[in-house]
Amino acid sequence: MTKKNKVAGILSVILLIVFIISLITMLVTGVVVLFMFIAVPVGGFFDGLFDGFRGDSDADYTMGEFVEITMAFITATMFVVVSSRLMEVLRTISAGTPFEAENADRFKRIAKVIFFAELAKLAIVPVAFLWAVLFGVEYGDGGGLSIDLTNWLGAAVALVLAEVFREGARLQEEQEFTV
Amino acid sequence: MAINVKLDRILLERGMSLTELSERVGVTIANLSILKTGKAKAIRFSTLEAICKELDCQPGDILSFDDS
Repeated sequence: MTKKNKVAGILSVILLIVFIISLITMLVTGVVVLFMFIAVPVGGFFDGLFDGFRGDSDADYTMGEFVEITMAFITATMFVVVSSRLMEVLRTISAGTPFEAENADRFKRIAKVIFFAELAKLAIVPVAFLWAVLFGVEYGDGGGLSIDLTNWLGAAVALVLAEVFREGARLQEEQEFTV
Repeated sequence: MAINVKLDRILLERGMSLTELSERVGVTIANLSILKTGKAKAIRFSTLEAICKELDCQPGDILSFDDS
């Protein structure tokens, strides 16, 4: 096994672990978010089904906690997509064909997912806060607005890598069609 | 495409097959087919030199520029 394949193999195992943990987290938080959302008292069908988001002292959870769980769900979903795409990229590296147009598309997709996930995490706070104010729901301490610069940088790096792989694919094609 | 490859015509004139040319110049048939069908993106001077030597011709006999 070459050094390159060994590194790709180790990274694949790490990414697989990340993928599985993220998938479980996504499913669990997804179910929690769904149940919490159903319990929101918006004058809808499910009022009183669950005791949540209440303005009184009996509240099981606050809007801030709902926002935190939703953010965890978004982050887990982002990790699932990113890790699965990276595993596909590593597979092509192991196969010895990393410079293909599909890898450029994969990195572009990673950048898009990170961008929209971070955007959603930023947008959910004011929406939830407005909701809490409108319906007289307790917001609580958690679920504050925070900007994760590392993730935004990650999206930028993924975009740069997408262009690098696109150029690499072009050069690879040129090389293949040079006689 | 602006550059036309006239390899098939030269081969016909010389009565040589692509397989024979491939053996003589040391370029695979697949690569020569890419050149012959006009799919090639570039040609090495060494390849062009070998082809011209074996077919006893000039580069201009194999390649031409089409402005239209």
